[in-house]
Amino acid sequence: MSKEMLKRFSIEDVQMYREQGEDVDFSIVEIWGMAEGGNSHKNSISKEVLRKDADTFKGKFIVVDFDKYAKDAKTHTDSQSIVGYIDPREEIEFKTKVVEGVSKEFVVVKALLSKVYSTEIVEMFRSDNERTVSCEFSCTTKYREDDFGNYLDDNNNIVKAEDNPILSYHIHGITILGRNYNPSIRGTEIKVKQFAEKIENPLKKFADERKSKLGKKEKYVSHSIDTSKESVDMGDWNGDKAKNDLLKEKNYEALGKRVCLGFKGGERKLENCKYPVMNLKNGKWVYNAEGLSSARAYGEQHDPSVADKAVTLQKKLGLYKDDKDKEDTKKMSNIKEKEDVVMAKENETKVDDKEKEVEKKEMSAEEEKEMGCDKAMSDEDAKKDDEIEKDKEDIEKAKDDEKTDEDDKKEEKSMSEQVKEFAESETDKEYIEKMFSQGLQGVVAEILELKKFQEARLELDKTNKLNSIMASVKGDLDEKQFSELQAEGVTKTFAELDSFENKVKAFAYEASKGKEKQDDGIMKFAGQGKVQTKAELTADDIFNKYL
Amino acid sequence: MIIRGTPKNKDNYILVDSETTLVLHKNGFIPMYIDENGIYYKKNKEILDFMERRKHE
Repeated sequence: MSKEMLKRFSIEDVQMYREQGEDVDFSIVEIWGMAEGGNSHKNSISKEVLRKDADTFKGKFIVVDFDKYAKDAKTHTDSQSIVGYIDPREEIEFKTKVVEGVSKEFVVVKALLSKVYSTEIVEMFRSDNERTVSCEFSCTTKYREDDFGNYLDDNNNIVKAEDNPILSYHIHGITILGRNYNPSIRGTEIKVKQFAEKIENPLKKFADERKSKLGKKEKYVSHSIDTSKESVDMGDWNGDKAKNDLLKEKNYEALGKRVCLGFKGGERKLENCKYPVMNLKNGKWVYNAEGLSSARAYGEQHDPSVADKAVTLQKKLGLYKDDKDKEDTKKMSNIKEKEDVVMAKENETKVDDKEKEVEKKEMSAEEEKEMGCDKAMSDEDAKKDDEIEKDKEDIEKAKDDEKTDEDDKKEEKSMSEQVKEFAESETDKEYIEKMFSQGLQGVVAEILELKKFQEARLELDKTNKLNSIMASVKGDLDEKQFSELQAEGVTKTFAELDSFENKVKAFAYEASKGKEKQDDGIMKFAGQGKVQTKAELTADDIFNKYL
Repeated sequence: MIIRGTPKNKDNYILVDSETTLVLHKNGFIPMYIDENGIYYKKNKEILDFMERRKHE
């Protein structure tokens, strides 16, 4: 990888790709590689043959000879580089499209281009995503070719190339062609899919999103929530109905946390709504006393945290207090019974053991006093302790209640605000208009930015192309001619550079006439940038040699 | 498309280098074969005339 590449593919690019939701390493391209029917080779391919050998596309390379000055691909050359490949596991598809009025079936495959090792190619696709390809392959034809280039059938009769179809083929690679080169098979194409999805119709995407939102809005219902003590439902409890009602709520996620003590959220399904404690009553979500008891009972058996939550709610709603009072009353009655028994026993003891009382009188007054004081003191202390503990409990309870009420109010407020906002929110039309105006502003800004970028890019491309043209003829022109032509080139636009190139090369050809060229059997044009040592072939040479 | 390999009878084809093929292909001539020596175009009067013309431009 060149230093230039290293510089160009920086961490900023990685971050950019991540922000854009693109893969950091690869661009996915779709290739329409080969088609049935005729081609410029004149050896047609039948649909059966096309399908039969289409598997040979799998695992093959995407190659290109890139012109870094023109920022474009070239054609099939001996200096092509691998820039990507077709995943061997990739499915081969067959798609049909009309090319020049004829419906043709194509082999369509997805391939990967490396963003890291062929940055310039990816950039090339960013500037122009509609490109063509040409396959490099081996094949067998129906008839053999003789020494004169004619196709002969089994009886040695000459047949036309059109009547000599390809019987089998084997793909070796796929060459990306530049904008100025036509493929042998019309209709072939290569397109980066990720860019296509991003660029194609953002408004449609927005419309689809909005449509789905509206769809959801129609499907779901909305109810307010009331967590006050007064609204508690003391009626029958149906947990399953509560869960089903919750699934239909528009604000499913927000409501779910209040309606169920074991709410998981996410997908709308019954399994995610455990331990419901609220149900719908008069169009509002309210706590259900039986639901709370039920959740508490289940929680005590399976999940103590749920039980704790249920108890807290019961306390808050005054439902837990009732249970405690009952328990206290029971305890009190038990104590009273015990006291009665003790008192009865004491009375019996008093009646039966009068003598013992007399003996007690004989005890010293001081001792009795002390005993009495101690008893009185201990009773008083116990009472005080009880009172202090009770006060503490009351304070804590009051604090808890206050806190829960505040939280509830907050949540209730936010919920009611949400509902209110939703009810008072803009109509769909207003919403769409707002979104469109925002979207359009963004698009305009983006277009201006792109325009600036395009201008800068064109200027750079122009400079590069001019440098390339001038560099290719540097050895053929004298200094004066060179600087004159270069000055002229600077005044040309990017589009005019093609004709300017011809002019420059014509000058170069004139200037280089008579220089020695090397004849290595490979035909070349003058002024192609390579050092030529022998004289070029003349027209006579060509006809003598080839015709 | 282009066939990876050498034509059976080279005399029926014109062998060009990578620079020349750019001009030929750009001007509508379709390469037929490619191998380690270069790119082969089907020989005919049209392509030879074109090449000759280019030399005198």
